[in-house]
Amino acid sequence: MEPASAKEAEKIREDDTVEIKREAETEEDESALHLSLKSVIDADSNSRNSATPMPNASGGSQLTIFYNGAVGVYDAVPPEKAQAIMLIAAAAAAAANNSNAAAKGSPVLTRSLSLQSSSGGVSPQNQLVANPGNSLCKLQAELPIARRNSLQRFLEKRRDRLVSRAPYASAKTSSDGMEVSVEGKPQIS
Amino acid sequence: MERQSLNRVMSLGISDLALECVMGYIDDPRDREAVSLVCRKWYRIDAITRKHITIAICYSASPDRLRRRFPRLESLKLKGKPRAAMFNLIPEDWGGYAGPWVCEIADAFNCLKAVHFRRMIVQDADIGVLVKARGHMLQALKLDKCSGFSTDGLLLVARSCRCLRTLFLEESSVTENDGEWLHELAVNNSVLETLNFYMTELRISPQELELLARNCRSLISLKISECDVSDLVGFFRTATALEEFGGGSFNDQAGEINRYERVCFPPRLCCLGLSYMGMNEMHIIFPFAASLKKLDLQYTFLSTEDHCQLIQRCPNLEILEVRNVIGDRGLEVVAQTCKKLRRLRIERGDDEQGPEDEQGRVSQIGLSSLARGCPELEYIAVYVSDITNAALESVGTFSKNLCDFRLVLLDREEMITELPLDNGVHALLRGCTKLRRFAFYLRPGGLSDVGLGYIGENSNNIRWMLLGNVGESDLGLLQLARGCPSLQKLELRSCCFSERALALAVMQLPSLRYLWVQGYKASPTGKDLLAMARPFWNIEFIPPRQDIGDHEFEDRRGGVESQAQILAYYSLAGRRTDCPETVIPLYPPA
Repeated sequence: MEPASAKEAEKIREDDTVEIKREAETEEDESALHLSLKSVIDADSNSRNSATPMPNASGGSQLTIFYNGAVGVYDAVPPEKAQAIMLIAAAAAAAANNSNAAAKGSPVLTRSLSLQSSSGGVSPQNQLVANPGNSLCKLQAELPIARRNSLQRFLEKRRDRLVSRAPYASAKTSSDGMEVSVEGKPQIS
Repeated sequence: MERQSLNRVMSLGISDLALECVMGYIDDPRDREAVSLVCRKWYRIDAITRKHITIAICYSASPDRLRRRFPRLESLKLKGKPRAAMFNLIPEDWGGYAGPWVCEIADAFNCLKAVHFRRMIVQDADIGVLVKARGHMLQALKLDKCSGFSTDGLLLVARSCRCLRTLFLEESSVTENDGEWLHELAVNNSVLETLNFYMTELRISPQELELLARNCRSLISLKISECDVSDLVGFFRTATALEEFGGGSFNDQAGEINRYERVCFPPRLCCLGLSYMGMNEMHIIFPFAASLKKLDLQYTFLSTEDHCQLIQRCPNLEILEVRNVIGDRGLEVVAQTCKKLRRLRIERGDDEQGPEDEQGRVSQIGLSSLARGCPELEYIAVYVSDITNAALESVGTFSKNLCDFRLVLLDREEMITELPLDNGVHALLRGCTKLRRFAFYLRPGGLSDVGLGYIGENSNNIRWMLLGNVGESDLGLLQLARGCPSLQKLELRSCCFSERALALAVMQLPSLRYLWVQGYKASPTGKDLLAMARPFWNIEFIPPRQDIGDHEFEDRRGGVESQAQILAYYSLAGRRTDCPETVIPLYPPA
């Protein structure tokens, strides 16, 4: 299983968003959304008692996962789902090696996969991760701390002023800050 | 016979008229809630005597229902977008439209004198409807962090609302067409007491402010957008009753060396916040620093040392707002000097390239000093770079009056002196029994599941909680949910809880009426979330998106990934009908 590239991750992201948007467009679609969740609920409860593969409207092929001595086989997994699963696995592996897991390369992980009409079998995540409390959990965390709007605006103006006063200075106070990536901040007050 | 004596007991032998009079003295909303549940008569009397209503999320009830129950309302406060909107986490078109409410106000609320919209979308047309119907009676209008209107709307207010005592526009996004509105306000109004357009981009001329000061002799509070302070000399000279001033700006590049020496503040001024003030201008505050009760330094250019210099002259300070450039050193000065301090906010400064000032970090040292030195503290909000359990224990030991505690552990330092903070938070919550609002935003490893359990067990009075990066697993959340008996509003961010645990927690928390979550472990189908489906419980989902696209902030925010959000709240109004594409109502079904 090859980890998907960043471009494919991009595509998945777009597809997810587009799919949700399309489904939310009309009222009919919204009720269809509700129904598809329902049908998955029914499907899941059936799956516990039978070994028959789930019917799948969107098409897909078989996905096999070897993990910790167990094998899971899933029929008719749509390609986007398969890629998402592969991304999760790749990110989990990367995080296990890197103690500074800032979840930079695995945006898909933390995105909710819910509401996708996945009729492609039992939830794969339970098969993938033996202990839900460890590495997957750690990866899931760490949203950047969000900044309050008023402070953000002020700090940008402050940077502009510092730059206009001393464009070439590298003083002890941060005067060089121009292209800075936004670090979020939690909302505390 | 029995029924008769029951009736008599219920009304205590008091006539309805007397009951109305008595109820008029009951203001606390929780008391009113209790009173309204006693019996139908008391419900009715409460309904016609209730003066003020705050609707914490405007979609929890319909305008019609409000009118039917409280027809004689005098004051209304509505909140729209989730609090996270103040941190740019909510799409601009999320909702919170004032329109339907304004229509109902215009139609039916004949006693309404005060309107407060917070984080809502208000259009010029809405303002038009409002002032046409209620302008002659309106005493207070607050468009608080709102958007959707322009200076044309303000012009309507200025012309039609001659009784206005309070006009509050702080941090609203106002489309600017001209500055006429301020002139009209100055000319048409003579009773204005509070004018606030702080943190807006409105451009005004100082002459209009001076005119306002001349005509409105009762003006006690003015907070403005950017306007050079040296141009306000005339205004300050005229506004002799002024007690509070905020905003303005300083620009010492212009060449004039003593540009700000002429500035002489009004004699009663005791609340002050000067934007962009630097070390060179700071001394203009010194003459009256000792009478300052409230000081806002969040938008200044002061170093740690400057903060020390200034604050040591302010022994009567009750409210202080700063950025973390104040440092532990500055907090030591606060602890020694500001013995009357009740509220302290320490915001996060610019740390993109390291801290603003070498000493500009707040840690357990500053927090401990503060707790020991300022026993009157009721509100502490602080962004710390480092923390220990002992510091939190100090707060629990000394800050006995604390009602609101918010701590964020910044993420720049790799090593924190002491984690997890289980014991510290335990001691803090056990010591601060009056705590009603609590925020704890850490990092993975910052608080274990046991720590979450401690929070649950010791949060008897807490009504609002924001938790970030806490816990280790679903067990922690479930332990939290076993406690928190008074928790009404819960915000979770960047935690590792599953949808199933979230749903279970919601069902367990007895007082919960509002939940907001960003960053959680999604189930592949989202069905786990529907485990919390129940009558009157609206569940909304905001899918993850690329590029929040708030172009106010130039291009900095482009390309930032935004994670999925769950919003759930009790509602008598049913499913929202005005959701944008970015918001998906999950429950109730269509």
